[in-house]
Order: sequence, then C-alpha cells, then structure tokens
Amino acid sequence: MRKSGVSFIFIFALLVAFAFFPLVILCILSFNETVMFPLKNFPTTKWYIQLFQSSTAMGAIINSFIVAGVTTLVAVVLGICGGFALVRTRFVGSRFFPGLLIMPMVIPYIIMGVGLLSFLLKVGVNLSLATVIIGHILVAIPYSTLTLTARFVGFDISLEEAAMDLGANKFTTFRKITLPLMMPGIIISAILAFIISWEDVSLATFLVGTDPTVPIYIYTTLARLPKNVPVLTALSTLMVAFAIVLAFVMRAVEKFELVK
Amino acid sequence: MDLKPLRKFFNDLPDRIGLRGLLLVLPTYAWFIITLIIPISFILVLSFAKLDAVTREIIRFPVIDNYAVLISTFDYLKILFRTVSLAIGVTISSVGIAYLIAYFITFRISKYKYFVIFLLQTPFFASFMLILLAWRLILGKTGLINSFIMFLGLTNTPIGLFGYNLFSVWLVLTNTWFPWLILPIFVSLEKIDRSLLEASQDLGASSFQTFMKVTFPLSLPGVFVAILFVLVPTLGEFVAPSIIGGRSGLMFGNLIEDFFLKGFRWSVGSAFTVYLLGIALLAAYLLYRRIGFRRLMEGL
Repeated sequence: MRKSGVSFIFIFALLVAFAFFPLVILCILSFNETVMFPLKNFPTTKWYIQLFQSSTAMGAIINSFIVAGVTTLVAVVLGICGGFALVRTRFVGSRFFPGLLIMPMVIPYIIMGVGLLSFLLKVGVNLSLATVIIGHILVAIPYSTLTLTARFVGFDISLEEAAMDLGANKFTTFRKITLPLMMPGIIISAILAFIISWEDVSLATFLVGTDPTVPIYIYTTLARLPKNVPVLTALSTLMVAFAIVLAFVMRAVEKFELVK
Repeated sequence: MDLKPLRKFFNDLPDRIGLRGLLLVLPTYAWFIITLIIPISFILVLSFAKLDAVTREIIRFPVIDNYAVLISTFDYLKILFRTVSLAIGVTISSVGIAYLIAYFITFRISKYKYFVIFLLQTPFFASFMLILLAWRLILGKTGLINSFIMFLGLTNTPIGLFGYNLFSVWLVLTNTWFPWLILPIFVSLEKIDRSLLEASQDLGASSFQTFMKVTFPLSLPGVFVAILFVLVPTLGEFVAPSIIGGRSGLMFGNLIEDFFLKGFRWSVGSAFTVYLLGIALLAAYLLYRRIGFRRLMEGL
C-alpha cells in the first residue's frame, strides 16, 4: 500500500511537470541569446528590450486588450440577463434556450470561423478587430451565461424577499441586493470570457483584418519571420505572468464567495 | 444617469406571461441567430452551389459535386480518417491523464484541492498559442531535444520522432487539453458518497474491484463532460498541425482552412465544413444526451 502510494505521487508529479514544462522552457529561452540548446550569454534582457521597441508587438497587445475587453463586457451583460431569465422567469422558448446556448461549445471553432467569414464578406462587412469581437462574443456567451446561471441557481432568494418586504421595489432590490451578492460570480465569468477571447487563435485566423491580436501575431511571426521568434519568447513570458495574476484573482474571488 | 424610466419599465413588465424573461434573452437569441445560425445556413447553401471562379456568384444550384470531392479523393479520405483517429487518440490520452490527476486530488489530497486544480489550469489561461510556440522550439530537427541529444553526442543526425509530425500533434494537443479536463472529472469524483466505497471494501472487494465497479461508473458523467470538451475542438483543429504537424500531421481542418483562405474554393470548403459539422454534432449529441445541461454547468 505504502509503495503504491509513493509511485502514485511520482506519476502525479510527472504529469504536473508535463503541464508546466513548455511554459518553463519558454521562460528560460526568453533570457537566452538563441532559441537553441547550449545556453548562450544567459541571462540577457535583450529580447525584452526588443519586444518593447517593436510597434507591431505592442500594437498586438493593445488590440488584444480591446478585443477581450469589449467581448467580456458584452458577454457578461448578456450572461447576467440569460442566467436571470433562465432561473427566475418563464418565457416562450425557454426549453430551447439551453440547447441553443451550448451550440458554440459543440461546434468546432473552424466551422464558426468559415461561416462568419463567408457570411460577413457576403453582406459587405470588411474584416477588422470588430469582426473578431463579433466572433468572440459568440463563443464567450455560453461560458459567461453558464457560470452565472449556476450562481443564480445557488442564490438565496429569501434575501431578495426580505428587501422587498422592507419596501424596496424589484429594480432597487436587483441593484442593491442581487447584483452585489452576485459580484463574485460576475467577476469569475468576466475573467473566463476575457481568457476565451484573449487566447483564441482559431476564430481570429478567419476574422482578423490587418490588425493582429497577440495570438495571431505569434502565429504569423512563427510562419513568416523566424528571425523574430526570440522576441515571442519574451512576450510569452509576460503573458504567462499575466495569466498567473488572473488565475490568482479568480481564486481570491472564489474564496470570498465560499466565505459568504 | 437617470434610471427612472428604466426602473419604471422594468417594474411594470408583467411577470405572468413571461415577457420579462423573453426580453432578457432576446439579445442573446438575436446574437446567436445572426452570428451562428445564419452563417452556418449560408455554409449549407454554399456547399450545394457552384460558384463562378471570378465573381464568386452562385451560377448553379443545387449541385452535389462539392460533396463528391471528398468521397472521390483518396488523399482527402485518408486525412479525414487520420483526423478522427487523432481526435480519439488525443481524447483518450488527455482524459486519461486528467482522470489520474483528478483521482489523486480527490482521494489523496485533503487540503487546498481547488487550489491545486486551479494552479494546473494556469497554462491554459496563458493561451494555447504559447504551448504551441514552446513545442515548436522544443521539437523539430534543430529543436531543443534534437540539439541536446546531438550535443551529448548520442547521434549525429536529428531523430525523426522529435521532428514535426503526427506524433507531435498528438503530444501537444494532449499537453494542451488535459489540465482543462481535471475539473469536470474532479467534480463528479468528489460527489461520490464515500460510504459506498467503504461498503464495497467491507463486502470484500479489492481496491481495484471497487474502482472498476463503483468509483469509475459513478464518475462517468464527469468523464463525458471532459470528452465533450476535448473531442469537439480537436476534430476541427488546424492551428497545431500547421505549426508542429509537418507533412504527416496535416488534418481535416487544414484542408478547410486552405479552401477558404488560400484556394478560395468556398463551395468545396463548405461541403468539407458540413462533413466536419456532421461528425462533431453527432459526437456532441451522443455525449450531451448522457450529460445534460446541469452537469455541463457544474463542469465549468
């Protein structure tokens, strides 16, 4: 028993290492002169300096923030509406709503990508960051709505009844009681929507115009400008750091929710 | 901001006929119809159309030629077969790894369970593209692994297995997906009533028997959610094969991408898209029937 426990821990540790291995490699390479094995001139901040001097890279970061920001905003607002409607009200077609909602989760991105591409070009819309946002909202809505629906299901409705008994009307109750209590759920679904947009390559490949988002910038640089690949490792390391911050914020919010 | 008119509107809405609920979901419905239903219907129409080579206007409709392209071309069929096999392979390996980790977290760790799961998801937060970039540098003829082996003097020529090929695609997609699949499996493992496991052991079952007859069947809902999460995107994958797939790793998604972005053969591409959609929806339907909306919600 004791022996099998040890080997189990060993396998577990190995698998965890497998998960982090590529990111650790990127981090190490970003401080190296080349992207090849014998470390040369390690550590150097050369690539970080080049990264901050590259206007395309900086532009891509700004673009990604715009796209993910707008996507998050729309997806969360629609998620609150959808979650509330699904749990608290009855409406015509409510039986179809969950089915419709999971559609983007069960259709490969490439299909939505080519569909939107050919449709948008057909009706005369030019590809730009806006078309990327349109696509990202579509794929973010299911996640934001599902996480918020789960929160509405777990919401203690007697708190609202208490507010109404004390004379608050429905709208005030929603604004002063429901919304603040839902805040952790809203933040979590916002981070989720942000990440979905932030890390997407597949949809953006089809919908992006001339302004790249970060993943598209990495994709095209890899394919066309091998010379700039070391700069990508520096960019990646910063993105990993950002992801860790996001993950910890999400964790902190979840903890807060459990305390409630 | 003056909220009065909005407030009045909201309060006055009659609850009973369900108008309020309908109004709340209307934007979502509209978004889905305009950016999902209509574009996919458009693809369906295109797949039966013959397009003019220059103007890209529909010149004949309906024709079945576009669908015949796949069936009559052996190379395309081979790629479709490879794609489905690879998707199944990636599903088995990533769900398997995720299961092992989820099992370990559920039964061997007593504190900070969610924190561990969370930590494991960080790579996924950082973007799929970074994982691809890393493996692009690790693999390949002059990649880290090969240059390391050659540095040690074990071989003079790069080892093919660590180049860009189908194996690399499998490895990288497994690496990408398994951290994301731990949570749904963990949720269903955590829910299992521990007294059932004790009962099984008391009745003389070995721990392996307990696992096969009690634990595993009860965790199946979570496993199905995990399969859904990995299988569908892998079927349509095209980014990973184009970066680390080399020639042998080409997938069905790459064909579709080329038809739309390089060859501008939209109608043939549409027919291929419909084939892919059919496969993905069939798989999703079979899985979703055993999952349901509620479990999907918990798995996030």
